[in-house]
Amino acid sequence: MRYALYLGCTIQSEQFGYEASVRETLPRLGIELEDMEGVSCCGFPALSSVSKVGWHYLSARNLAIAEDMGLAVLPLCNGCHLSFIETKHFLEKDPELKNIINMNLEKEGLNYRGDIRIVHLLEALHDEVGTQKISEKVVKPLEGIKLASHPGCHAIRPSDLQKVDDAENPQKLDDLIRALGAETFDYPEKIDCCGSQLAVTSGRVTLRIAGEKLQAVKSYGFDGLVTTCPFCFKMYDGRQRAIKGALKDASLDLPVFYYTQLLGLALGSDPKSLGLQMNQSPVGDLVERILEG
Amino acid sequence: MSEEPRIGVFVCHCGINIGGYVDVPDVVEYATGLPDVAYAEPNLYMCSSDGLQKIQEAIKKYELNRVVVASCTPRTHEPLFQSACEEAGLNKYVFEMANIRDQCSWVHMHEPEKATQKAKSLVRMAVAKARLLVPEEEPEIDIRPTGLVIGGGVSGLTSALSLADQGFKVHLVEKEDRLGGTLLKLDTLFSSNVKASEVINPLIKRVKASTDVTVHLDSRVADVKGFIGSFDVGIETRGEPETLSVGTIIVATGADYLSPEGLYGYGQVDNVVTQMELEQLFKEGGRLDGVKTLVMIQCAGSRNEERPYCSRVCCTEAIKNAIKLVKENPKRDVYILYRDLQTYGIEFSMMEYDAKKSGVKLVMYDKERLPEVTGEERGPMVRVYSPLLDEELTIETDMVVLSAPIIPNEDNEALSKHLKVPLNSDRFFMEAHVKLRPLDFATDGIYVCGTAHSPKEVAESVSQARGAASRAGIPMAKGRLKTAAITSVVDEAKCSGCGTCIELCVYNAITKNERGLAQVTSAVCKGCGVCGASCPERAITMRHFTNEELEAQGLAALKEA
Amino acid sequence: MMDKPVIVIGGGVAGIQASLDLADRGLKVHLVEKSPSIGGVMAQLDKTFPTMDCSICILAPKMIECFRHPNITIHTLSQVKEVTGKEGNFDVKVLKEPRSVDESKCTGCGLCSEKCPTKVSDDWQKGLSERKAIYILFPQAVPLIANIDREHCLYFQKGICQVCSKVCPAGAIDYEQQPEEISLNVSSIIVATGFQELNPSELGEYGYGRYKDVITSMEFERLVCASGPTGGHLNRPSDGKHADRIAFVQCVGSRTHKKGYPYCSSVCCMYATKEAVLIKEHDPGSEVTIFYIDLKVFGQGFQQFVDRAKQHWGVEYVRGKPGEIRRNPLTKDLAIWYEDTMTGNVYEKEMDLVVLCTTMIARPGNRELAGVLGLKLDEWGFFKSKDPVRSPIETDVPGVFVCGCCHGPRDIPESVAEASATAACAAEVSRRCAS
Repeated sequence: MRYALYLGCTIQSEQFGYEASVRETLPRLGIELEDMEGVSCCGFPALSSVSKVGWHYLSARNLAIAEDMGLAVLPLCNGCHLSFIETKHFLEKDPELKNIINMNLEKEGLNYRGDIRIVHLLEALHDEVGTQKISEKVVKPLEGIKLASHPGCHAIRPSDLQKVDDAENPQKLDDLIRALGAETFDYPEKIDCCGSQLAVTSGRVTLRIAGEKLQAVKSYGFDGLVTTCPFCFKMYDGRQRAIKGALKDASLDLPVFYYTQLLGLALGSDPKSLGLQMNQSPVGDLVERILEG
Repeated sequence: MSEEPRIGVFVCHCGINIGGYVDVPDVVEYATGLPDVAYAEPNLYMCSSDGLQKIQEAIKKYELNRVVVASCTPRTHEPLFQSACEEAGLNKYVFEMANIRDQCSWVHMHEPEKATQKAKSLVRMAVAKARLLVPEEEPEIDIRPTGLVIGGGVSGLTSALSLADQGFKVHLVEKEDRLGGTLLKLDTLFSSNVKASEVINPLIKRVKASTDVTVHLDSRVADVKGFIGSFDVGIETRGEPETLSVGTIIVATGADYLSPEGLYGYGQVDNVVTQMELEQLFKEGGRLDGVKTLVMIQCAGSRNEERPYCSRVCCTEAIKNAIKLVKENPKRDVYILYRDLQTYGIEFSMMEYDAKKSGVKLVMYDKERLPEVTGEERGPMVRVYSPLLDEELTIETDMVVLSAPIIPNEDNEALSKHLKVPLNSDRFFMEAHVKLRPLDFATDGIYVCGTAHSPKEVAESVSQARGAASRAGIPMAKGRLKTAAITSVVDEAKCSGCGTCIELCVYNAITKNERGLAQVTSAVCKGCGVCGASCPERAITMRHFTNEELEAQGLAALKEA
Repeated sequence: MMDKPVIVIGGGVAGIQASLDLADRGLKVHLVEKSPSIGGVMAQLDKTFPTMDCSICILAPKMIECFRHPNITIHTLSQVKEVTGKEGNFDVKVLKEPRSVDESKCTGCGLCSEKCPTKVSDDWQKGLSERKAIYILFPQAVPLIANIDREHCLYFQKGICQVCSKVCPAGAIDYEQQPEEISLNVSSIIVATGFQELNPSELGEYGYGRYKDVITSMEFERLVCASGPTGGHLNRPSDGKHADRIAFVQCVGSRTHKKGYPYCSSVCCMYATKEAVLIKEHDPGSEVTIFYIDLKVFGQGFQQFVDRAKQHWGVEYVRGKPGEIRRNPLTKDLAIWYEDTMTGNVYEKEMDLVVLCTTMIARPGNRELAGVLGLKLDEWGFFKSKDPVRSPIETDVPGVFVCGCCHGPRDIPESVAEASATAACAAEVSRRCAS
């Protein structure tokens, strides 16, 4: 399996742990990742809120580059994934818009055909590699560790466009967690939004939204939270201290991981290669527990 | 029968259903010891062809003239055993059943001894009654193959045509001077938007052309005598009396529609009309060209204290008309103010989506805060608070259309008295049973369909009309009806003419004869026994459930086994 | 010349009514039913709205009348496979699956079921309890004859056991029975195959299939029915505790453009009200809430029934369809997450039992039957009438009529009235073709 790896802005500029853990683990599962040359931001969510054409142009441009590489594209960020899916859908429905975009792409020698296959990380791991193969490669099973699954909104919604997983009852991330030997179960807040899209306009509200979810997760006895989106991760991990302040909950210390970081630990990778030193939530103890086995 | 009773008692094991809990051999032995019991025997399955044969053989061998079967429920098996007795030469009314399964073994499974005692009591009771049973005859009545349909609207016409197609003659009585009813006043019908005229005119044409249907216009029912099979219906056609001799009657008199005077400015403010009036405006064509904004108000005069029922069709009617208005002129603003949108089923739900797509604005209001309509210079103004928006809308409009309910025809009271059929609390005609007999009246031979029964749309009325024609066709197709023998009998010597029984009988089976005394029409009597139970003079007795028989059973129950 | 018989396909209340109307007027009827007994869905209901009659109590006499009627021949475990000809002269091939029990010998005593060692999930009880491999569909089944589910029977699967034939006092077991083809010549065909309820597992937000205490309305009917698996006690499936706080969710799978169907299922608001009143009758102290979008009270007596439910029984009605049923992973308590659209506020309310009022959908068998009869189906799989206004019970094929839910959701009185109407149509055909 070979994919064109699309990192997007946030991962490249700050979420190094995600990129590091992906590059470390996916090849070990037989996935070859090829970097894309000359890609830009996908346009979501900032540009998409002010210019439809601009947004679709940016996304289509990135997709055209992947098409030229002759590979399916693997966007790591939930938001980029949604952006690509929506762009593909709208340009299919609106040939005029597609035309305008291609006229501009032509200037760069690019052309968006629209036959690109867009694969989410969950699909690549769950459907294409498979939980069986993953568990066979696990050397440090995460036994006795309870992890809360947070697929994130833009992996599963809107349900008529996104077919990554069931929008009301997503289970793929849960299956992948179990493949590592860890325990997971459904909880009421599982598909609740992390709130990061509101961060620009209503900072306090988002801290409350995210914080209440973390408190709930902790109350169910989970040892940590797992996600595949840099925005969600940033909110739960990077802003956990601010959340604690906003909720006045000093004991809210919940470890937050990217799935691929835990995957790496289970496959026996060096924690440094997974960027765990950069997680701002208190992951140290849990990582030690995993390493000790 | 003056001969001595020779009772045969047959006790069934019913596999293990009875035999597993009741000591059947013991019960048989007990039965044999009862006075007047000439023979008793057990059987594994009395209802099997083998068991029935044994009963018949025993009747002949032991010259039995009464038969008691102690087994399961008469509900399912009485007719079976009765037939068996008849085949062996006995009258079916000298047969009695004791239910020692449903009423004994099944409910006392954990107390077999007591169950056996109870079974013996039940048998003793059945024997006590059997002693007094006498053969009864089931009179047959003739059914005239002519039907009467009251009402010449879409329901009446449909019924009449169906009856004619089934091979009967029909009298169709219509109070107006023309056939067609309400559909003559409508422009289009939902759900297919077919023109009402295209639906009603072919029916009128067919009825007029039919040699089997006699139409009486300007005609009303004046009185009704008789019973199923031989109704004599007096009608008055432009004052001229006539008697129609028919076998069955179908009530298809339709309904009226409310003119909600004083409600939402109706009758006071200009350009406030009802949906019916809007239909008329559609028919005339061109009358609505100047109308750019229009507000429809649902439940105008219904679903309230005075009229609690929902009129079923108004929401879909409003939607049909709203779509029409917007499609005619896409610049129009059409609002429908509703409480609960009654777009039920498949077709009407689809119309609702159509309306929304066409730009019709559906605004929900709550009955605690009704919309207000005032007359302004420009036209009516509507103020409505919508809880969903948490906002009060003020709509300057060209026209307000009130979806006023279908109401019972004011003739219903009189007609119900003539036919002696009941009206429900909403004053529509009341059927025999809401679920399983929606087209029958409790009185045999009279049926109902269409909006005479309750508000409904055309397709539903048409189905009901054909259904009523099926129901009416049954007795007429048979030609003769055997009536049950279990009917009440009045002892004229004791009857004081108080009329209590007449008032209580829901089947209208009792009338006062020339002597002012109660007389039972056996053909219509259902044998419910209410008359017998309520007669203060004890003048009424029930065949096959005479006072003596019941007293004998009661006394037998109190004896020790 | 004797009239030809009529065939009625489907033995629910509509098929039964049509058969009785025809038989009573002297026509012969072949009533063809796919399952081992007639009765249909109405036999599975506890009570009917708005009269609160016991459903099987009012249906059973009609079922028995069908059975005993000299003019009606009931063919159970049978399906219509082929039809040729035209109005007045249809040649119909009916395939009868083997009961493996001799109908002329079996007395319905039930001993075979008692001794059978194999348990199977009981579909008729909506999976809430088990039956045996040899069984009688329900206690009031007509005909009251056992039948063997060959797919689960040890003898047919592994060649062992045969306990039923050893204990049957009537010697009625017949393992050698083969499918039988019956050829009929009829003047008209009445289709009354009824409906199916939607399986809400696909609608993940309600947790059906994951949370045991989220059930469908049909499962509720069996739960609350005295002849059901709990003897009529409202015990929640997860732990058997009595349910005191019950929620009804309307429009599950209906009035939606997402997963499900866009149409309104007509009867659910009323049957939810009925079920709510049933609960209150059993236990006036219980808290019952109905979550709805628009309350469909269009039938006769419906609004008054709802008024009574509200004012006399204290059933709460909330205008707001729940977004989600949530379950606490530790306590397993269910909660309904909803917006009360009248106030605009969002609430989370704890519940012991949640009943999903699922939409009526077309039976998948309609497709095959439509092919056999030459009928059209609408986009939802229901049979299409000739004209929705003028001929709602006629189809495009002369001599073939439809009644009841097989052509769209409707309630019992409507189905019964339509059934009588199709009987009139069939009688007209008879007369037309006889002359």
